[in-house]
Amino acid sequence: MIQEIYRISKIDQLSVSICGSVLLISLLFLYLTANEQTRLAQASSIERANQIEIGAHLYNLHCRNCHGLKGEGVGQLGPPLGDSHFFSDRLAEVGWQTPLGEYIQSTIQYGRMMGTRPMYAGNGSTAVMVPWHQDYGGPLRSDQINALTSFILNWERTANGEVQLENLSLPEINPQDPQVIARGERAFQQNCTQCHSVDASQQKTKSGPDLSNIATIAGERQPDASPEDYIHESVLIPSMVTVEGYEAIDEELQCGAVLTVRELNDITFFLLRK
Amino acid sequence: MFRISEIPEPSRPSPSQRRNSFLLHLRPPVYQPVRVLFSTTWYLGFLSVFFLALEFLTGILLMVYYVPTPESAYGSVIRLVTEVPYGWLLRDLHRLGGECMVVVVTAHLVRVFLAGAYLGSRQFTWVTGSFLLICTLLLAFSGYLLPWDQLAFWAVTIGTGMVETIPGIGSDVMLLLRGGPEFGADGLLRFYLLHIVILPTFMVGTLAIHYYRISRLHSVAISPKVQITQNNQQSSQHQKVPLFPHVVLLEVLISLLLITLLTLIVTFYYDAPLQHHADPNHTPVVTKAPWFFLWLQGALKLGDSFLIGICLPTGLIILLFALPYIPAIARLASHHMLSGIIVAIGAVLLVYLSFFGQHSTVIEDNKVNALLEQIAPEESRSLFHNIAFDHLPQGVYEMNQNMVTEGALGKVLFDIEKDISKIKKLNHFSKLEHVVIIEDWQSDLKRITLRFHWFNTESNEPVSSEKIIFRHNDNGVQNQ
Repeated sequence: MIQEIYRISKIDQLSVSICGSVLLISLLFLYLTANEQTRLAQASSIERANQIEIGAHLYNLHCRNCHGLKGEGVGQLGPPLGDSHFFSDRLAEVGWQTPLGEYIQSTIQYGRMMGTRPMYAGNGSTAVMVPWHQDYGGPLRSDQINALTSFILNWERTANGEVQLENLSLPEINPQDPQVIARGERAFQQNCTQCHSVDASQQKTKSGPDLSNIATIAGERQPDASPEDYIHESVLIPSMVTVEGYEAIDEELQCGAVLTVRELNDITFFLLRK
Repeated sequence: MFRISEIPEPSRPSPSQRRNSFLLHLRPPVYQPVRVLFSTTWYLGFLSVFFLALEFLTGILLMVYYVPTPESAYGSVIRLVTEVPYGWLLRDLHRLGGECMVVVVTAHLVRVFLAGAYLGSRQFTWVTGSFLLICTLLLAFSGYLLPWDQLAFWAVTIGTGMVETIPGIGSDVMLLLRGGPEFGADGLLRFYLLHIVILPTFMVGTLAIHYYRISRLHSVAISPKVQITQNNQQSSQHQKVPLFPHVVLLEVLISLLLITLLTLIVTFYYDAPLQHHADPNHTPVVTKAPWFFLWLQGALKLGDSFLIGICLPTGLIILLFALPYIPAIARLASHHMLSGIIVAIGAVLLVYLSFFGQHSTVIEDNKVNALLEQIAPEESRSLFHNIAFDHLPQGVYEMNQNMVTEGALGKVLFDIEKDISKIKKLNHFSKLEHVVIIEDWQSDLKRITLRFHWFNTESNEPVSSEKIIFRHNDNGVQNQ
């Protein structure tokens, strides 16, 4: 066909084809223009969803040990982030002027040297929350902090009661299950044996107290708490109860920060059997 | 203005006309019909220039939004796609155009080789053409890094890592390229400047020489087959096709059709890839070279990094440049069948090595982890993202109970179970069990936990592996 075009000077055909192409491309751009606003909105919502998913992974990795698996908070370690107080009253409480997103971003980025609530005020010599941005010694980049912020803000609808989520009833973990005990022993070997032993004969080489027979000892040390709670608390805040001869405990020691919730439970079940 | 019923015989413009006309100064005023036939050149030279122009145009517009710093580069690409009207079009056209340019420029060189058009006055034209091919590949490679995602970061990190194997100067050259032991702000800026200033400048300068030589010294190469046909049609030797309006109109038409076609492709079929933000501390499970260097990745599996990664490409480049000057090879110009066989063998080798090079660096602890990566790839959507959000009911889905689950979820769970039954047949995966837990995690967000337990008969201990997937309502297949 192109040979034909050149053999005879068919300028008319070329001109018509060009006009047709211009019409075609105009129609195509008309179609794109008509859909562009919808496409932009769709791309933004997909990106927001993507950010929430990335933030959820990061939260699971870095934040849940102190703020709870679902933002419910963990004792005196970290306040809840998924309750109505956080979304309704927190900004006024600290006198923060800009939107909540910026408050969350800033808190993650710079950490918090001092607590605004006595129960989370730490021990007076360490930061209540360390800075998480890599510019200040933390592990996170700005885009990761933004993703975490999007994830935390996504708790708003459940916090305000607009959406009710049902909790999934998971099968109970059997503390006597040999698989659970074996898992607990492995986690203990990997994370705790640097300071503790579960064998009194090895105790001399360790800087922390022996944990054999801890189930009985726990009851003596804190009669009002279950042995399980005592172990949990001691792992999360090692300086909470000190044992005679081991008072010189490092105030910054945070054993709980290196364990997942399941590892903590598995170690507890393992220790209770010793 | 083009509606001319009878075309007068084109006459060669006078020297004064040519001096005064910029267009006629650049292009030959008239062409022999055979030289503007599609079958003569397949318009590969024109197409190369078309794609270069497209890259310039889209590239300049992309520069308005792109920020070449590790902190902002990825975000600026996201912003381009989510906030800037037609930003996606610019990015997709730039990426697709660049990939097409690699194909077209390579095809152009192959055609010239097959036509044996690299002797005599064409020797240096071949050299400039070869240089343009190298520039095209380097432009594609340097542009690959700029989105600053995991795909780009690790592909370019591994690519530049090969330089380190050069004895003596390797580590210094690598430092010069990366701007540090690993890619950071300096490395990104260097690649950006290479991509937008240095390589385009070389390219335009060399293209000018290349074009001048073709336009003024020896015109386009004609394959022997077309030459014979042409000789048989002596009459056509006397006809001339004028540059304007004939050739120009045809080029405008082809350009318009190509723009329409490319726009249609990027609208309906093609999305420029963008993985997660580059993370120097996390090597992805799969790292792949850009597709145009996959052959090299495949070749690297066959031997030493220095020999294959540095010596082989350098040798090929030297051979490419020196080809018209080596008498033994230059004789190939008259043996078209032999040239064809060489090209065919080269193409088969290239395809084979590229295929071989795919998934070159797979970190695979065991079959279970490989299956988890298959279900929920690190850098793309999981299988659960292909299921509508409302069809992911909360629950614990244990082994052998998936048959009762209906719909898309049932199919995914069934497929997982089929893969698991294959793994179970392997020796050291005794008592392999799995559970999938789907939980409502937040408003419009579900958490899907995949958990595998087995007893490793090799190490004689229980082992477990877990992967967590988060699925937002807006990300993935939508509810009907």
